[in-house]
Amino acid sequence: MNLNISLSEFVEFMAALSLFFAILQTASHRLDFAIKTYTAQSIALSITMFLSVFYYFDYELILSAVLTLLIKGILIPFVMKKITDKIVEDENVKPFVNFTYSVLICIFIVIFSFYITSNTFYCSTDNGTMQKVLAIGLSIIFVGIFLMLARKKALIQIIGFLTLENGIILGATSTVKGLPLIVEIGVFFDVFVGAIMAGILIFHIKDTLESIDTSKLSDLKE
Amino acid sequence: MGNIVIGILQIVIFIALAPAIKGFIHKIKLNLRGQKGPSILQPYKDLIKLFRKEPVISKDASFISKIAPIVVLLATIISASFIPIFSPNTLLSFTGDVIAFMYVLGLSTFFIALYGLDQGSSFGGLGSAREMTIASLAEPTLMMIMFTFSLEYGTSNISEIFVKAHSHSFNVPIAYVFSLLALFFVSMAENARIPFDNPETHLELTMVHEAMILEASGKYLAIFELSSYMKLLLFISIASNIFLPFLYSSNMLLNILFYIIKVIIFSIPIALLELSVAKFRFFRIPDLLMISFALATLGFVLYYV
Amino acid sequence: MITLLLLTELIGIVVIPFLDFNKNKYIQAFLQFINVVIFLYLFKSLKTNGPYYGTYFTLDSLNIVLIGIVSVVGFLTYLYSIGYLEKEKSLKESKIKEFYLWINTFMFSMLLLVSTSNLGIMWVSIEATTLSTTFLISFYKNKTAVEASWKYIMLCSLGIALALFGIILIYFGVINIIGGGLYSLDWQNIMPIADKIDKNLLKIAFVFVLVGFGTKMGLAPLHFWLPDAHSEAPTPISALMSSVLLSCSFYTIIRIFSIESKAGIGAFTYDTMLYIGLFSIVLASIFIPRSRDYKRLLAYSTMEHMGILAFSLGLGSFEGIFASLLGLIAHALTKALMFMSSGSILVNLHTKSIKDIKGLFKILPITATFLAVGVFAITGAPPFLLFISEFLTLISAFKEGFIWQGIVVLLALSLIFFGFIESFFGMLTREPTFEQKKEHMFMLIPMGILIILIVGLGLFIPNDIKSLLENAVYTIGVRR
Repeated sequence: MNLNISLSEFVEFMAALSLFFAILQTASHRLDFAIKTYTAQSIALSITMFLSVFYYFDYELILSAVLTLLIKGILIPFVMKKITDKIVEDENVKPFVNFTYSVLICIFIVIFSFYITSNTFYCSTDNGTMQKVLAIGLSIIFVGIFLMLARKKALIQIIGFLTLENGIILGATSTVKGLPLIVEIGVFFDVFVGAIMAGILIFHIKDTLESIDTSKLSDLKE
Repeated sequence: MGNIVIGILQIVIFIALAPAIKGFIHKIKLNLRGQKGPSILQPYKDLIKLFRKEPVISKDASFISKIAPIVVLLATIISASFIPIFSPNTLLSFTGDVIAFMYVLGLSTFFIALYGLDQGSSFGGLGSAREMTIASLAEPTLMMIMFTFSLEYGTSNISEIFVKAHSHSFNVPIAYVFSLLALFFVSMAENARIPFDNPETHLELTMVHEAMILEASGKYLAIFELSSYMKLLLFISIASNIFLPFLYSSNMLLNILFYIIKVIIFSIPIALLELSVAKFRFFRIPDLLMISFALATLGFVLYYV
Repeated sequence: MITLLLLTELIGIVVIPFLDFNKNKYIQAFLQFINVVIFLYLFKSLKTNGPYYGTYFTLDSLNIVLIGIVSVVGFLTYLYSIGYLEKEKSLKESKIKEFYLWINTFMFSMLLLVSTSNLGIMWVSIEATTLSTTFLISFYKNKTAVEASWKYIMLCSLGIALALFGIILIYFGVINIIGGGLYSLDWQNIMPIADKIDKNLLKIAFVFVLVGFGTKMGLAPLHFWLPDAHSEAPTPISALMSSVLLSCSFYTIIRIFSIESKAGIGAFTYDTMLYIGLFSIVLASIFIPRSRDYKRLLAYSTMEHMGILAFSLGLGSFEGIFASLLGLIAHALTKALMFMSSGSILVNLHTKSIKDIKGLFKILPITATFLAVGVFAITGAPPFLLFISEFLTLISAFKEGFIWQGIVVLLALSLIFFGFIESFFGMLTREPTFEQKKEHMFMLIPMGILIILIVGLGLFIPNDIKSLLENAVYTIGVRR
């Protein structure tokens, strides 16, 4: 038995670790656990991107990896934590879909996205790493969408959106080795400002509604 | 002929070792808690004591109460004959199928649950219901893990998997970490360990496994206890022999020694986990099992796409 | 020259804190007027010099249409908001400054969006428009406004993120052919090699892009934010969002659509556009007759028109695409008119309910006249501009063989016509429920200008504009 771990396997592993933390988010009962898992997921993502630099030999990715770590691993969870401390009196996440089924749906999502990418994308040079990491990115996207739709608390919906963005960046890293620098910085900036604005909006929701349960936001119909 | 002898030898060593491992885990736990704890050989003494006692059966019990302990013991022994302990020549290596292994294991779970229901006491039914919930979520996970191995090595025969794993031309993919974690959780679930069930508890409302054998006494209790020790050692053997195949030589006595060392190494995380977490409330157990299923699926798709 | 457009917006943002209440409004409107002048200059330079394709910015016949829409409607909206903000006496001065900050950022991002054909920069600007309008929707900070704003930011960010994934897939297809870097996201560089990109990849990418930018545009099935956001926002913002922002999202879809059609997977993309447009039209026509709130009704009408635009784009013929572009202009002008008139009703009478308002002719005579004219304009009656575009769409549909689809559109349009007449004429006639109010001059002037434009262009389209639109159609690419 040999213990050689090739670089591509390590990249796949870190990407899968990121996906695992995303799935763990759907099973979290409390808000601060969800934020901590999101931090872990972003850190795993930035390590994946950092390792891909050595795999693809594209040094622009280092900047993206560092940006991911700073903005998504440190800054955004810090802001989220601040918001949670100030606003939330009830830490429990209220789900529309209960937690066991959520994880089961996530498993189906993973299988589904591996199936979609298996026929379309073939890259003959790297024995399937690109396809696997792309499938993992696609799964994280769908898990993020699922989080947004299947939870009632506004804060979890923001985390779902941030997970979605993480998945997109992972997909970008695997297929196109990172977007052009201007676009990448624009994406980071937009996501960061978006998260902050959503956070401020949560303050407004709390002021008008006394809770951040979005199922109470159902006045506008027809 | 020599193979059958080796096979029987493996079973005998397995049954002989099982209570010692259980005692070992118990001793580590208590030592780390600061207590002295009973000696490692205490489970043997408990078994001998129980075998000498006369069983008391409730008058509502049917024939199930008499045959269930035997079936459970036999099922566990048969499952154990699938697993190579220190040599690939097990008693059932000619068929050694992964799926058959899982089904025989499931048979023992099923009969314990029947026994719990058969006694007519409400605690028995409670334990059986909980055990079935846990088993229905843990078995698919175990199956997924086993399939990952089968697909990897291209065979569903456990002995062949063992042989191939120990040949030197094999790289351990790092995705194994996921499957290993999933196997760890499944082992804790199937063996009624914390965080799924507290093996030391005396509170009937929190029991899962103990509740089913609450009414057992005498030699039946001894058989049930022995089966649960063997099941624990079974899962540890799966982890140590199939999962991380190292420390293997061609000398049989050395192999027995290596096996004991590997089992001891793998028992330590079990004891550590038992110490660090409290038992989960029952409604959170399906979540945890689903997460381990997700881990197993991740390990599976990472390897085999 | 194009950068000047953006510069005026930036000046607008910078200057806000230094001006007090009154002067602020006029100066902002004046800056927008400068934008209109720049637009006219660009139009002339396009005619004389032909299209310009730079590294970041682009000016071709498709672009100029949208730059025109953004600057003209933007200018008129700023004029309108002078009157609107004066009438809204309850707003503090800091709120007004906040209003101008966000609306200038909004205009900046929209102008950035329409002056480039680089997919990456387009994406960044659309996300910027989402962010800058969020706080505008929740401007009044009551419960319904906050709800609308939350739905908006979540749904639109979700959609735009999906569109980003689609753009990444297109980039992936392109990168194997012309390499990476910013230039390979530019539409002008992708078009020549469009037929070499992997077809399956383009199909999946198109689905993501359509769902994503379609969310921003108001196409079903992710249109849920549209009625809430457009009815809760202050009226100048509703007008801007409804007429301009959605047109800009349509511009993005058109760019990517033309790549797809050049790549030769026409049938799939054209049909998808067609049926999604059809679905949106039908859905909107179900909701319009049931609306109780006139701003919501206008929002659903926006959704319907976006559906018509998608439908006519999906027809693929020359008339279809021409009708689509013409409809873009027509809708922008007409919807702005409608929102402005309903906004002046709102600001004078403080109610959004249709049932509560009656006898508008006696309460606000000039506004009511404009409103009546607008109702006919928006439902597609001649001689207004929208009639020409809808007529061309239907003719093209029947000519291309989409008989039952055309009939469905016709039925939906008639349903909507009846819905509009019933709601608005209920408001205009019968005994007045409020006493007469004074109308603000600055709110009336833009509406008048818009009516002149709609009627004028409806009666006679200058040759310049006609040839411009024809060039734009050829830039997009015709299926048949």
